[in-house]
Amino acid sequence: MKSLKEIFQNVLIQQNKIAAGSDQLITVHHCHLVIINVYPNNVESQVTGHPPKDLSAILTTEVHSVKAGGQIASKLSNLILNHYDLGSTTVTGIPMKEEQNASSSANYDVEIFHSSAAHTSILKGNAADSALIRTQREGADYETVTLKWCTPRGCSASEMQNCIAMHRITPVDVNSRPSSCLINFLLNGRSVMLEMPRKSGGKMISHLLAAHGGEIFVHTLVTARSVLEDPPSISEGCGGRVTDYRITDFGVLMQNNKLVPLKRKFDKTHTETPLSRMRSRLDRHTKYWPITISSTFIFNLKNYIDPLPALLVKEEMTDEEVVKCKQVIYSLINLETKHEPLQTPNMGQRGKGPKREEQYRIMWNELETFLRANCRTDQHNRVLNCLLECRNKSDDEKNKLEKKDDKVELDQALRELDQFGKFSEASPNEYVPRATVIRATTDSPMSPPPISMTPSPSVPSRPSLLRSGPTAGGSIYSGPRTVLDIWVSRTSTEQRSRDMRQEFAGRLNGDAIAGGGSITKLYPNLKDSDCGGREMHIDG
Amino acid sequence: MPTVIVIDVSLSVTRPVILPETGETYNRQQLAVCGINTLLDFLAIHSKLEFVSLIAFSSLYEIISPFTRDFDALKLKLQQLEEYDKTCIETALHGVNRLVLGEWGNATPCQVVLVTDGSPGVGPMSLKHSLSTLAQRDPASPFPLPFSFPGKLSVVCIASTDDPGLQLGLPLYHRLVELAGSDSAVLVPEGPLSVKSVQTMFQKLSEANFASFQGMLKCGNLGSQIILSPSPQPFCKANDFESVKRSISDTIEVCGFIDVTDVGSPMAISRHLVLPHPTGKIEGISAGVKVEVDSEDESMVDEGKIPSFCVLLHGALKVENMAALCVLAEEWFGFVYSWADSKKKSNLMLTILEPGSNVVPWLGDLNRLGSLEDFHSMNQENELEPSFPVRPLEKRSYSQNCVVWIRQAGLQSDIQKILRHARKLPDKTQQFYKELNRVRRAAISFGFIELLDGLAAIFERECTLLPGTAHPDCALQLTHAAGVLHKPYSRDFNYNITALRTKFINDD
Repeated sequence: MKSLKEIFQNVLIQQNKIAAGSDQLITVHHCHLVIINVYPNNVESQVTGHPPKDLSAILTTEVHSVKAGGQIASKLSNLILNHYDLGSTTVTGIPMKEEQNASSSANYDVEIFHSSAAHTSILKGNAADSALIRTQREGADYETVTLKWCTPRGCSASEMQNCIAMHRITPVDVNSRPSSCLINFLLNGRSVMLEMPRKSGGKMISHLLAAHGGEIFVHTLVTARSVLEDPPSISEGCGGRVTDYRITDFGVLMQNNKLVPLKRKFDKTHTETPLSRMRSRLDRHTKYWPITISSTFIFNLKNYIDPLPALLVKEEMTDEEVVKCKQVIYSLINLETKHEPLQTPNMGQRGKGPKREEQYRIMWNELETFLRANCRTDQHNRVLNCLLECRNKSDDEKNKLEKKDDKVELDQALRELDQFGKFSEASPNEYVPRATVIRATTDSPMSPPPISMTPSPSVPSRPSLLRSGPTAGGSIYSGPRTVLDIWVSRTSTEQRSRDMRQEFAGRLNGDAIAGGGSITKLYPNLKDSDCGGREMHIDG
Repeated sequence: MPTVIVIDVSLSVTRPVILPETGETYNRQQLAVCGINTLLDFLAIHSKLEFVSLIAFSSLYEIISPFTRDFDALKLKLQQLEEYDKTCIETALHGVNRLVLGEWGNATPCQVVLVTDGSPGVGPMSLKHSLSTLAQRDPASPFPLPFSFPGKLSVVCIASTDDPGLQLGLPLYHRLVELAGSDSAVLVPEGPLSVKSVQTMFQKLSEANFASFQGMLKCGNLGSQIILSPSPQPFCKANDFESVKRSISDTIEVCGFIDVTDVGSPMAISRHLVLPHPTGKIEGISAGVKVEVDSEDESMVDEGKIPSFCVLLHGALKVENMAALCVLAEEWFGFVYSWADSKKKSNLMLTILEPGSNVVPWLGDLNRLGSLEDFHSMNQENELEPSFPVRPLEKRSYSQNCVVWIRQAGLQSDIQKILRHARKLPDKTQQFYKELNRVRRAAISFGFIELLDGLAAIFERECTLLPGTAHPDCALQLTHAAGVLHKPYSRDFNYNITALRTKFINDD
């Protein structure tokens, strides 16, 4: 045996010399030589084993002598623990039904091997706890960690566990009945929690055994206190008290953007990975995506506009899909000419909602914003043009619109839509001016002013526009201008505001004061002898 | 990230300092307390969810306060510190190790702030003595550095730069932080010792080590400003040939969605709460309708009422029981999902995976994940729709029906299995012959020919022991099998013992 080691040492030194003189080879820094002497069962061995010993600076040797029958297998499995840095876990208390005696179940133990790192978190923690679970296995010269099988409620592999390490495992006895029972249990998709007892009493779940795609893993779970304990709820944070998020719609978006493993390799010439395509896909799907129900109108009109949104977010559209989208637009036009109100299931909680004319105005504008945001190919453009044509926009204007910088326009639109959002918080009366604001949104600073506004240069700013009321705003959409429109647009701002809104009585009757402004007496009728109104109120 | 503040309460800390600003006399401990208060104030503003613990030490150590989020209580305790004997840093560091391991385990990164007066102690157990005996440690009780958890040590000296004690101590402290590793540092106030210089030093320390992570969570054109709590640490790993150090980018982009059950519980390097940033305005992102608030109104508008994408995402992930795969940096991924500590309070959680795209075996290469539409556009022929989990190419030994006879029990259980089937003939005829052929082939491969005769003998014996209720087929099949096993042609590996035909109903 000694000569064997010396021969090996000499060869090693020789090889290192060659390597030292070469540019392509590197020298062996250290070598661990394990000699296993296997002898027949009926013969006594002449070789005595010894534990690892340093023969020289570069060579460590150990010798084992084992009987061919029975011992070699266990010796090898003991040796691999060191060589592959493995640890052993014994899962104890696995309930199994006996074939003969199906009504009762007996408890079995199964030993598994895995990377020793799976144990670090529990062995490096509390020393007293780890002493409790480390045991020497019979006939083996290594320690195994004994953990108990448990199947707790409310804690499963289908949730995201706080896993800090995962390693593949293998049973030590591959085909023993308890092993194969545990393995099949896991391979069938179920999972097992392992718990360790604590010195201080009680237990804690330290590991999870689960199979993924036919491979079994041990997941090391966090056993210590979590830094994230007692976290705030999302409803306490910002945006937490908004209640009308489009959660169902986003759920649909998520289902549409579910990831699947694409087995076939993408073209090598393709620089873009499937995942980066996915990112641009999500980008497309969210070009125009209001996050709350109250900030959108068209997405609450699913029964009218589907399948248009789903088709429009596509990267490319077929002719057939364009036709489908156009049909949606035509049917909406049709409804409008029939004066049918748009039924919105979700608007119920906000009172009676806008009037029919405004409904259509809001809808057309939002739809246009949506189409413009998604206008990425000629086919998409065809849908947008269809909408614009339907709404009697002149070709001239349309062409100009197309040339515009999309981004500027969208930003502008959104800024205006924000205003719209603000108004929606106010009373339903405000819906009237809101429609007008919306009108302004689709026009970028570069587009010509709306037709009805052109003859009236005295109405330059938006605040006055807000007050302009339904008649002026309505004419923009409902087709060509009428005589009424022209008349209205020619009246002065003052006149109009007086027409639209009655002036506050106090301001009309007030006594003018020196510094400008006026003073009016409050409750002028209070002292009047006739207090009938009040008394009646009490009586009634 | 939990923080342990270790404060020196040895006698030397009570040395008076005349403040240059006012001429008042403070002692170093009072200055230290001022500084620590600065740190606690910083945390109260930027990281309310941090846990802080307080240890006082001299030759012994005492846990003044266990880990808490109640910074005011900590400040109160700081006021009640007393003075003891001499400085012994090693004892204190042992105390830190014990405290953190007991509370957070060995995987939670922690900050350790050691506040001392710059004099490293004298005699045995002084820092100088500790460091000089480094090599003579018993492996059972090693020097406490590096910490037994991922820890960062900041040594803060309440001493002016020209202090002769500090001149002596500084090299020792540098040695100490070198041992602690992971960007540990020594801090000394700039200029003369004063309340202001100490506070500035602590402010610097806070900004360097306790700044919260602010970034953006994006999904296409939707997004929201977020804070991650605790803030993610740079990932450091020493590989065989290089050491990797990476930090996540401040834009976390959602790439797609996966069912939580498919995600499994992959190994994570850390987990973080994703909190929408209160003042976060969405700029440059044009999607949806956002309520923009004029600057003057900002304080008046309730931030709970401003819609936030985070809340929408959380709600939808929870309802659909899905997780969102996110890109954190190049070739670095994470999952965002809804998580609840107790059943009531759920929040958005980010799990950071190890860097790389192949870190979760059952999901495959994360860069190769795509939409079903992409799959259909690539595959003209009607291939099966792909789904999780991704299966490895090779089958594991435990999922194959291989023969293992390394122990006697292995062989016995195989034979018992054949006999179990034998007793249930003719129902189990197929299984009986399948198992028989499996064992026979293994025996032939191993050259264990005696087993075949043995098996034949066992079958013949079984025949004689059959109960009267047994099916007639039972005896017929067993005799047949035993007979074939005796024949020389059954020693051929490729030969297959087939069942004896006992039914001739549909004879052909």
